[in-house]
Amino acid sequence: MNQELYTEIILDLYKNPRNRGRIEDFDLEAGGGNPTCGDQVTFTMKINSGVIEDIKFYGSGCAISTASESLLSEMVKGKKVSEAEKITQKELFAELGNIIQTRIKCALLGLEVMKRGIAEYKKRPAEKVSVKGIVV
Amino acid sequence: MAAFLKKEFAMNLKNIRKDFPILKRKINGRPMAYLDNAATTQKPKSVIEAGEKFYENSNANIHRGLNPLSMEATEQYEEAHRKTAQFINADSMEEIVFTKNATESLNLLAYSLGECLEAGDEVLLTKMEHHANIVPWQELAKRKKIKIKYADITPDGRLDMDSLAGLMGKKTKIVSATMASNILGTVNPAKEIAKIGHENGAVVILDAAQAVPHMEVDVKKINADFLAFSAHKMLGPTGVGVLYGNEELLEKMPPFLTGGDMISEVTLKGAQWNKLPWKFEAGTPNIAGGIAFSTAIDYISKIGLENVEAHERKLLAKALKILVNIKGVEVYGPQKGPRTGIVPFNLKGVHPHDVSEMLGRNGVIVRAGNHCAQPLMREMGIEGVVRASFYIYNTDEEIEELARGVMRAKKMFDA
Repeated sequence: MNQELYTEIILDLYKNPRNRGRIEDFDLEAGGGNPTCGDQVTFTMKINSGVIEDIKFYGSGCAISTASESLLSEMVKGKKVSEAEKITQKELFAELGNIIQTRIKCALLGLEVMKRGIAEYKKRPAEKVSVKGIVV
Repeated sequence: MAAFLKKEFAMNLKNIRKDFPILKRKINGRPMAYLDNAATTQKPKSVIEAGEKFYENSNANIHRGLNPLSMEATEQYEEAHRKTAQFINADSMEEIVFTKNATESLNLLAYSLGECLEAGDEVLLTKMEHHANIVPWQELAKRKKIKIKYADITPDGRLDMDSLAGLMGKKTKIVSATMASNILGTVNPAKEIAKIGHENGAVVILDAAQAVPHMEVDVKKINADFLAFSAHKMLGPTGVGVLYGNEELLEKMPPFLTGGDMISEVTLKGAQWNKLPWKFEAGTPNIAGGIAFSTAIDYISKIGLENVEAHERKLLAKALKILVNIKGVEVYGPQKGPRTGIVPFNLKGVHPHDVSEMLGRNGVIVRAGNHCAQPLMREMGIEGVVRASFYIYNTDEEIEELARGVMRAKKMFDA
């Protein structure tokens, strides 16, 4: 029963998160959280000619949100900003595995924060953009 | 006598559990262990039926003319106020205002008492408060340009009384402190807080939401000016809160919400306020809820608060003993001094939400997160905790199930 939620993929991504940390000279910083549960995440990205060259994330959250953010960072690294922006819940869950209804919000926190950050970045791509306090 | 009662209580635990229909339910095919009583308690059949009975037999609006049905409803609703007064040893019904919940009671005070403050005045809170006893004052501070100060807590989670006394001064007009912490279970020295507050000429408010359900609270002995608590945390329905207030102060204070039932006379130029407590109960209140709440008071009184306290103390001791022995578990809260049946803890390497999820899947209902007390969490240097909180119907077996669940989470996460 528990295995349905805490799959090997999720446990691995949670215990050994990829791309954890913060890029100091970022081009885009996107941070926010879910006030209901208190989970927080911040992504920092290095973007060159519209391509996400490097990405790191930090924050605090449950296994589901951390695993999802960890996976997401892997999915978008090396991709164009315009591609990252289009990643859907379906695509994310295809890699993460199915998430039970009550925890979907945990799994989508990172995706939502990243998308809203990218939306801001696209308005002024020449600048160093920092979006904080995104409420999901 | 006391010993006899305790024995009788132990024998009655089975019967008590039978009074709560929800305790029979299963979660994922497993018996439910409801350990989230600090959030809300379950309701005995008598409370559930009291609300139904009112709607089936006596439903009418209160204080509305001399028809027999309204008089019956009014009498029952007023009796609920009298019973509440008696329960906390208040002088009369005039000192008992029914609100929506403890949060509304505190907001009422921040608005109404707050009207009497002037720029530069100070409100003294503690770093242990629930958001309900912080945010209304912060909003008042914006409106009236007053200052808020926060008394420290000790490293083991008790209120630092020296800090509280030290922050008190001529400008301190209000002291508002929790009587029992919703996270740590710490029981604060209410009587002493009231004494220090009064010595400095301040009005003293106690957030008693986590105290009144769990221990004998005598407003005369404590001598605070106001107490706020909620019915739903003491077997009563949601949507009913209590504000106990010193009659003299309540008389002087301006109303909070205005409209029907809270006036004695209205002309096109203005209005005069109704007598207490109705001056503070504008509009049609939660009549059925108030009446059902009085049934909850009957239920607790029948068991006896000293038995409630003793039972919680026993469960707390057991839970602390078991959890402390699980490697990787850190338990918070004061090591000495009085505390209620609340156990806040973390399992190293596992987020509180995941512990709670693992427990929940096996029928153990706990709360995880920051528990509406973010400043306290920051003070303790943690992001969240798992909180198990007990009440009269919890059993030793449920505590053991909690521990088994923590072990399961530990294994799953290899923590």
